[in-house]
Amino acid sequence: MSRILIFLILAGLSRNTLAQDKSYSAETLPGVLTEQADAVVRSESMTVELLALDRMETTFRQVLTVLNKRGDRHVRLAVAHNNDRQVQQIAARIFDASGRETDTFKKRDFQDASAVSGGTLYSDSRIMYLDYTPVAYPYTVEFTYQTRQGNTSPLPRWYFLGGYRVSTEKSSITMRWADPMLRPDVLERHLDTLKVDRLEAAGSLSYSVESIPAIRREPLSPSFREIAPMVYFRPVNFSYEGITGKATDWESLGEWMQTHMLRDRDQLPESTVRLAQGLVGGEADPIEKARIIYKYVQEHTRYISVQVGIGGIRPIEAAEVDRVKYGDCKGLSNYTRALLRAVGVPSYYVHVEAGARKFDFEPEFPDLAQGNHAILAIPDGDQLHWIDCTSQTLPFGYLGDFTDDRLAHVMSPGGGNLVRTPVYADTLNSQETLADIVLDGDGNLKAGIRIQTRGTQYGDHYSLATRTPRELSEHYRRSWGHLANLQLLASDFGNDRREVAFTEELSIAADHYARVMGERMFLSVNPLNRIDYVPDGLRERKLPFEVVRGYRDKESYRVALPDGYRPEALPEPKYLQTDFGAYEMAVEYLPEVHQLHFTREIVIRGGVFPAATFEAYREFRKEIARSESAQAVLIKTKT
Amino acid sequence: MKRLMIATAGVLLAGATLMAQEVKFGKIEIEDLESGSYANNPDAAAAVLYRSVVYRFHYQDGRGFHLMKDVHERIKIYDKEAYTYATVTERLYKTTGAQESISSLKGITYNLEGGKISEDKVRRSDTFTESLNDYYNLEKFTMPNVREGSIIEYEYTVDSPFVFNIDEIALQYDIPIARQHIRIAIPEYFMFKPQAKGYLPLHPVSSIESDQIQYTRKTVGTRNLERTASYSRGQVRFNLNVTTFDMKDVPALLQEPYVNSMDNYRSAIDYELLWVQYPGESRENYTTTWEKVIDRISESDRFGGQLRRTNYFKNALEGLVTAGMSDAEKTAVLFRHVQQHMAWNGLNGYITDKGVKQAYEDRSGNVGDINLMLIAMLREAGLVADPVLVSTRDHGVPIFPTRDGFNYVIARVNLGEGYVLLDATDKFAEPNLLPVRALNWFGRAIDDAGNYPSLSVIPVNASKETHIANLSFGEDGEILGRMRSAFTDYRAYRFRNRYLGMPREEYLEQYQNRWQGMQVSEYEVSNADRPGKPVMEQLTFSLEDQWSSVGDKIYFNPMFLFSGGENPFKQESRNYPVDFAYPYQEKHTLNIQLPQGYRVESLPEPVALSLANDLGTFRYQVVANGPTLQLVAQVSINQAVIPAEYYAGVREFFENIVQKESEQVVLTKTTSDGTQGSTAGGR
Repeated sequence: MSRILIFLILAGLSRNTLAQDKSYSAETLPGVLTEQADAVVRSESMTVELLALDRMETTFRQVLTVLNKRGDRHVRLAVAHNNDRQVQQIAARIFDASGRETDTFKKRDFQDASAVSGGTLYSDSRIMYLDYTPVAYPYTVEFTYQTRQGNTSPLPRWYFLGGYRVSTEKSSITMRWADPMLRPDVLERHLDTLKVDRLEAAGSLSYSVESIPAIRREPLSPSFREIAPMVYFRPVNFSYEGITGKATDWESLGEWMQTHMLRDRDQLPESTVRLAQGLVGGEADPIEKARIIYKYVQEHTRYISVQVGIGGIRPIEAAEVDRVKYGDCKGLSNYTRALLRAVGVPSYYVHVEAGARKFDFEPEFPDLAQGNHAILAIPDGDQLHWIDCTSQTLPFGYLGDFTDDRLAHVMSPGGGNLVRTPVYADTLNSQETLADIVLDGDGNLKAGIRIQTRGTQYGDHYSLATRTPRELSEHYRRSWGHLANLQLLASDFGNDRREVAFTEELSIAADHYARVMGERMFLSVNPLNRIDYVPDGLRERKLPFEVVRGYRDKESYRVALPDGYRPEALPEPKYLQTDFGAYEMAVEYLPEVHQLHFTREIVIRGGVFPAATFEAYREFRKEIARSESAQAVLIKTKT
Repeated sequence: MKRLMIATAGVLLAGATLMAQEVKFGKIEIEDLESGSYANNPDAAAAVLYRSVVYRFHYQDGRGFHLMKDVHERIKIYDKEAYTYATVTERLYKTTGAQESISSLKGITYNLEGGKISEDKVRRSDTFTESLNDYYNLEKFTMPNVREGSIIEYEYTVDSPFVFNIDEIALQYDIPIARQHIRIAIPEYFMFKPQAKGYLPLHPVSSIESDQIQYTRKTVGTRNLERTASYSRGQVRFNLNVTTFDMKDVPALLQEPYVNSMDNYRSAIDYELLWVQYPGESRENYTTTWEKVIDRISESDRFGGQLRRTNYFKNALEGLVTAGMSDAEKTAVLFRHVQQHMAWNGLNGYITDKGVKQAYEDRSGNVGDINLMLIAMLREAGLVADPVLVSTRDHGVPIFPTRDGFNYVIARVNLGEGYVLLDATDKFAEPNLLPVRALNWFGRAIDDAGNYPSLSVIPVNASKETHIANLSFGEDGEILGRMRSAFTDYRAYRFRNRYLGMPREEYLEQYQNRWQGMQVSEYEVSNADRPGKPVMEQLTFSLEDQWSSVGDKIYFNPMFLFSGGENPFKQESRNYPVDFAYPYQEKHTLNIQLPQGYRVESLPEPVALSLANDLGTFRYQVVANGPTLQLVAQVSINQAVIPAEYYAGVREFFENIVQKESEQVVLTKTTSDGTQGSTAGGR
């Protein structure tokens, strides 16, 4: 009964006090905000108060109007928390199209759940969240929360635009600090085309932006972070899990890391030190020693992630990893570093932002928010050899597309600095295919195939060596899905870990590769590595596009033709040379051996290209796709 | 009496007792450590060498019976991919006041070091408790020092106060099991009904053992004005019904594509509580048959009770249902009302989540809230409407009569000439067109007379997709066309789900991107927002790279934009049914205007194929008719679910379709005097 009364009172209140409040009504939105938008951030603000070196309070309020069903995904009624960060207040209100309040949710209505992500065994990450089922569109959600925490690093990154297909009416962030030494540094990104109000006063700094139209995701868009208007903050003086620090540059942050997070954590039991020394035996070359140690680590450890409190940055002690033989990226890197030290090989602990997308650390902006992975760098004269200790399979010195080509924090003695990880430039990511194909009179094929991959393409292929026959058969059937009833007759793999080259030697058979029609036979000249990707077209391209990594694929096939047929028509040779890459294809008939000889080389360049050239790129890919599906026509010879 | 007989039948699974050899924890064979692969399946990344799971009921003074599960597993790791088996997670249920717990955890990793067995024990720091949410904790531990070749072994006990719930016991893993011993010992006070599922032959062995519990009773009294307490010890003997499964060489469960959930096919044993009877107390009955299960469901306040509530919608109903409306009209009006008024919160369940009244007020609710409300309204309007319990596709087929067998409810209305099924949780559902999630074998109606007839929810009418196009040759490989496409039933449902509400420009962009070089110049769609009607599209387009000319010949595939495609069935054999969800028919009629100065040299042969028992048909023909060709290609799948024994036929059928639809037409230039070109031949 009392619940109903309260509901009525609240409903009455909202009707009276908020009826004129247009900020909750979806009826007056200007077209510039609704165009290409599924939701509109009506207003969003965050205030971060740095009350002390180890005390920070955050207040957040967002009013979001959802225009249609797709916009539901922009409703994020959730706050992350953990042992350090407590949620003081959390609430949500829902309004209908006219701005009338229809629902209220208090802290007790929110669920609290573990936020341990896949791949992590345990962490103290939790999430307080609410699932709301919308009943009609448009509707508006007001979400507020307040948190308190002791860690003053990292500080929030503020996106003035929340993602694709959502616009912003008003968005602001305010930092306040109780003491001049707590004043954060700021980095502005992609604000140039916007009208930004920047307000700095004693003890506070705020940014406010109004009216940002929605942008839509376009094919090959750069990552949202590379285009989103945002500001980063970072503390100069901070406290992390009770340990204070000061970062004026990467060197000083590196020094802090080494002093507080790494020092003395690389102690190993004497027996393990002797074991490591025994492994390298009489080997004198430090890099050869490092190879031996890395191999040992790969064969004896596995990746298990446990992240609690300070364990988010500080590795587990090497001795503990030595006992259990598992750890996360930090623990395994630190353990490997300890083993290397035991055999007299220096190595540097490295923070890097891992992922298929490449993100650089900001050179002038040292903070702990950057980086989600730890690896090792081993000095060799003036170059570095890089190893990822979480992988049980990668070759020594090979990073692949998980951590390649990006600025990373290498913690060499004294603190270290930012260094770019190895770049696998376009033509280094190669695949070369040689095939001897025999075509029979029914159009069926048998082929002996040799594929060699290098660079990032090595990373896509080398795990084939450990697959079961059933998995291999599935793999090739998927890769060459256009070949009917593909039979993998034999397979043999060579993994040259030192050269980082992977070789597949295959023998296959497939049905109906060529179609027999009356007295003719039609066959696609490229039955194997057919590259026919064309990005989707757009009425109007607005964003630049990115080819994250380039590559080079080169094929050479000989197709033995069945007796009684001769070529009637062969595809024209093709040669393309553009800013995006090059393509060359030719098919030739060699009468003396009664074979077709197909050669093709494609080079795709990596890079970011302006929006205006997108159509030209599509045209390039279209031309290639056309050529890749070219057919030869054979005709029966007269008897 | 009848109930008792059923119960007994459930336990009498097999005859003789078989002595199981105990495998002692910690006694590892060095050969097992040395072995490099599993003999029966050399590709296996790991194998369970031994597994024992014992369920027993433990009595303790003051807390009564608890259900204990003793787990012992020994696993050989062959490859790195199997390292995931070195981390074990138990999901433990908790409520306020009672929770499951784990105890007596012991774990050892064995490795071969210089010809000797080395051991590493699981320590406290290798174990973790994660509070998943209000209902579950996850207890996890991970084994130390695991590498290729290691054997891991662990044992632990799960202590559960929830004695009425024995979890489903998996008898098959994704890796092979060399030997396993499963034992379930249940005191005579509890009667469970075991049910097996999966494809493995099972040979349970039943026996009766005796057991006893000791109890202490405290009697408080006064003697000589002093308070006294006397303790009496007692003892109760009772029978244990014991079932054991001793299995050898259990094969790994292999993943197959186009299967909803592999767990539906995993061999497992399930225990459903039938009754509980403590000494000296009367018997408390639980579920037995589907009838009993449904009895209990329909008595539930959150089910049957909800159907009787009508006040909350009385006003709305008056405005909707008017005198003179036919039953079909009333059904349509009320279905639309609930469908539009209510938003589904994504939760399944045949019982209500917040209750129909609250849900109606909030305009959102779970499946039970929405469809029970619909049934109540239909009944209030004088219609014969019943709930139908169903199981969603991802929930598996309800084989055993258990309350968990169903997880969804829909409505059935008797319109005299036949029944109509309704589900108002989906914005694009229609009478007799349920959302795909609910299409899973059969449901059980609960009718007024107290009967629970079983009825099929699998659609029998084919959903049709038809394309009729007039095509002509443009410049340089291009074709020009006008096309009408029509989509009915589930094809229309799919269209609405994907595209309704999408801006026209965006839809056209997507449409054009389905083919390279497609340009749509005129486009019109009708009926998209009128459920029940077929969706119709009409467009004018041009499409590049559709034909090529070499010498005096032109080659093209007469399927044009509908050509290509791969056989989705790549595997050679299959153990599980192929589930198309609904029968369908796809028909293409293309009228092709030939370019001037060319005549047909060769055409694909016509073909007509059918699957066994008329499960599917394929017809294809290209006919020349003066300056035009007409292609008709039609694929029909006549049954939603096709049993695995037809798989080879289905695979071949689709292979033939792909092959046929890739065939080419050859045209030859006619010389100006009307005689043939240079190449002889033709049809």
